[in-house]
Amino acid sequence: MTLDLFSVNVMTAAVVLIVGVIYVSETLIRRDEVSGRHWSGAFLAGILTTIAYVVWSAGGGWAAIAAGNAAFVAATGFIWIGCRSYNGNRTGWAYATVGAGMVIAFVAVAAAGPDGGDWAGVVWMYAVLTVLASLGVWETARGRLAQTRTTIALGVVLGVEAVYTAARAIAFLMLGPDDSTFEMWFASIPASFVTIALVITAAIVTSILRAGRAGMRGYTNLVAADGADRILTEPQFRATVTDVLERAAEKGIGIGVIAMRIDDLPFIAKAFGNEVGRHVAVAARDAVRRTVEPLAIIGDDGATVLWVCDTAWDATEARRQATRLATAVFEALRAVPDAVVPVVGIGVAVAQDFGYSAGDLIDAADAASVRSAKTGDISVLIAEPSHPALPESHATPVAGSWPCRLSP
Amino acid sequence: MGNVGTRSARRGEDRSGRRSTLWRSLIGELTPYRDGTSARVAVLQQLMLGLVVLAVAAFAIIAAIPGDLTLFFTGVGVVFVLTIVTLLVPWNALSPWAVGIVPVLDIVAILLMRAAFPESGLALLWLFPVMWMSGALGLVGYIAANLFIWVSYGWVIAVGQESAFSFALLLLPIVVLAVSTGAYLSVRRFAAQRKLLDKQALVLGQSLERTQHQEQLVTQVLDSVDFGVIRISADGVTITNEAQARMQHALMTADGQNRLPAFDADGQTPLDPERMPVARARRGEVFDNQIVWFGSPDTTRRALSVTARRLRDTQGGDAGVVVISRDVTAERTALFARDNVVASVSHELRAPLTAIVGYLDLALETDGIPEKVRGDLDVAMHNAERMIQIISDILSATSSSKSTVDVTVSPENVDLQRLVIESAAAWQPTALERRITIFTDDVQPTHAYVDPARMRQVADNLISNAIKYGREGGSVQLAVYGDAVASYVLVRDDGIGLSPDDQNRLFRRFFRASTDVGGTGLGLAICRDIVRAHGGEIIVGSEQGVGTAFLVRVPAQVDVTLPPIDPEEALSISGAITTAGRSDMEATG
Repeated sequence: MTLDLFSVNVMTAAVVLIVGVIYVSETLIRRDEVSGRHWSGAFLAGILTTIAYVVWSAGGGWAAIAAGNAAFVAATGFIWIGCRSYNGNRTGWAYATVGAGMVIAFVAVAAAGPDGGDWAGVVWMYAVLTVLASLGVWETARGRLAQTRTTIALGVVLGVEAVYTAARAIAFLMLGPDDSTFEMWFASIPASFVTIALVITAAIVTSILRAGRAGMRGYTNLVAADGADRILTEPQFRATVTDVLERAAEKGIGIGVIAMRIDDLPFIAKAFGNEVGRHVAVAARDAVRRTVEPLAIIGDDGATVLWVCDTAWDATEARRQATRLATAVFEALRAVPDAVVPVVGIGVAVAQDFGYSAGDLIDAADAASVRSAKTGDISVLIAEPSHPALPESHATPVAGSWPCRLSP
Repeated sequence: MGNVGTRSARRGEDRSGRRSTLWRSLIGELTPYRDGTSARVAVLQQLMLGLVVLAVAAFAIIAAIPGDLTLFFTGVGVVFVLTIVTLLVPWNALSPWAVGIVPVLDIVAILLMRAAFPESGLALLWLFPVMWMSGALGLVGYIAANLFIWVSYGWVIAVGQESAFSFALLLLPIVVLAVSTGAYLSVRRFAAQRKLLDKQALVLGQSLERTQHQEQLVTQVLDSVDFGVIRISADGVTITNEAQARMQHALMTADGQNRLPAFDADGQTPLDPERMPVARARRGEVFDNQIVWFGSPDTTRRALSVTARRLRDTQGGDAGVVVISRDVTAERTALFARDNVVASVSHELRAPLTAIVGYLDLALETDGIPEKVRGDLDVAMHNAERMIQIISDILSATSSSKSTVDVTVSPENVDLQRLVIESAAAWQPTALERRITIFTDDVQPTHAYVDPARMRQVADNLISNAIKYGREGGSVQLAVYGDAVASYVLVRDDGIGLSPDDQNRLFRRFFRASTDVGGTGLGLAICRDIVRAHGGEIIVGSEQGVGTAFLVRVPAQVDVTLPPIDPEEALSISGAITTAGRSDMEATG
């Protein structure tokens, strides 16, 4: 198989371009987050690198090499800085290091000038790349990154890059660019293959890491970025509530479920940006977590509903809990800057009325929250069983509370 | 002079006011709108430009367009570097002007690309930075962007080797101007809308907060009072407070499954579901203090006093009903206890009194007792008999636990005219003591189907009351009349009259309008029970300072059923006083 340099560079450029564009747009659409942005910067630098090398292989001058080398350094450097910010470390001097590396790579080529040839200043670049990739490997092995297994792949990618560039530098110094062994393993064409492999692996790994932060289901929902607030997913919540109800039924303890929905969340994200939508979602989640009893069970449906399950002897008590929740959520939502206060529907259902079935209880609370949301303000609705537990209740005062208890 | 001076001064103020308004609005135009989205806008704008430049670069490489590649790719590189910088700089934390550096450098980068390929039309890419600046940096951005473009474009054309003048050359700056104007105006409009929206949100938030505060207050108040409140809205929705819920729980059977059975005010008659207070309120009835007993007799039971009132909304429309329930078990139990005590005490007193009367009778029948002693014995006898009468009154009022008296009557055809005249004659001496004249002109020949002894008791009671409560030196008017169905007895005095409150309680046992006048407070209660036992009705009308009238209606003959009586009408026909009360007003009280 004979491959010419230009074709290989174009292929590499295509791969880097496609992966880079997908990665950057994914970052912006799904989850805007600092480490994701740095990795996006790395991919953009990668694209710039390939363009520069394509220009060079198409006959561009030394400037193309200099720019390409500097961009190459930036690409690896930004991966490292992204890892640092993921770990919550300071990035100030890291920028300085990467900047210095870029200057070294650029100046090494520029110093050789138009007569420097294709391989001008290449050893300097290899050295800088080896250092930055090694720093990257070190960064993946500590802090929060070390807690995720996915990071191992990123560590391996950076490790391979460090070793490969170091080997390239040594081979270049010992064998020179015209040696057949060097051409076989370390020249531009094999390097391009290695680059493609590394780019694809890095894109996958960083995507997974970013997704772990962003939450798999998008972030305009009432879903935590990384589940850090320990709010249960819908299946977990249903299973837990089922268990709780089973145990409560035996002891005759009253249980209530509160459903809170913010259906306007996607509109807020559309109108004011995903970031604002996320702030609203986080504010609501935090308010719920801070307001309900510490042992209450909280879950989300992965979209716009949060549930709370707690002991409640009757609708009055559940209503009181829900009213407190409504007030706290309202206050929290009002405090979110750059957003409007969305309509919040809060519905309550108690086991006293609906029996000890998790499904029935959650569905009843949901239905009440939908009706509550339609009233247009922050109000609490108590779900009413269609077959009242009390006979003759149509003719007698219905037990309940003022002013939120409603019964048709 | 002063006027003119003031006017010119005002004109001066106007001018300076207008100037300051102008100045403020200019400042407003010059200040970039800040809503925390500038970072987002920057990233989106720059990324779009980056993508387009990427496509252009790819095309330039593949198509190998002749031109200055170095210059072109320098431009491409600058755009890319700017894209990375835009991604990483936290613009929201910086001055809103800081972000302006990116589009300005973009313009320069595009200038380089355009200079590299003069025929490429790459200058069209200027639309991106120009729109951005016009939108994000307000009037300053709009003007600066256009000026910058015009100057750079002019310079490129001037220095470059343009082949010939063409419309395309002229078109570009005009398009840039038009597009940036559009962008500037729409962002300005959007900013104004957003500002209004923010204010609206603030106002709404405040009013919502206020409403919540009030709602909370109402809830707290209603939950802390000890009477039950039920609100039934116009569409049938029921809202209740805590006390109501507690009451409701207290009214449940021990197993908590069913409500205790309900009974009427007498505690004996089971209450029809239709007559339950909430059912009545739902039908729109308005009532006061309906007493309902919950629980069978001889078990632990509770009594509720329930009142229903209509609610009106702000427009005066129907806003439903509010039903207020009070637990009156203690009160009711106390009343029963009092009755029991009185009854048993009276009962114990009656036996020795009967013996006293018997022996007095014997003593009076003994011959040869001195006249003085006989007189004394007569007085003793008279008082003992009066005491027996009082005791039997008390006993008949309290002989059962029910609120009405058990009165047995044996009706017959009675000459009502004679009965009333005789009663009036009997009370004549007492009337004279208070210089009261009894008028009997209107006592017409009338027959009634009544128990003569009981009816005499009623007449005596009403006439003696009229004399007792009448004005000293005044008059008591009696009237008897009737038709084929009903016969009427009217007793009217010109005394001080009764307050509406007293009228309502008049027929209650042990009620006394004035403690200055002697009595047990049982007379009228007994009268009512007697009249009712005949199937009749007794009503009262009174006006303070004018007098009081009692109207008794009884059947005129055997086997007639009297239609319901309208107190106002009956009293006005009889010529009595206007404000009327009915003896059943306190039937439940």
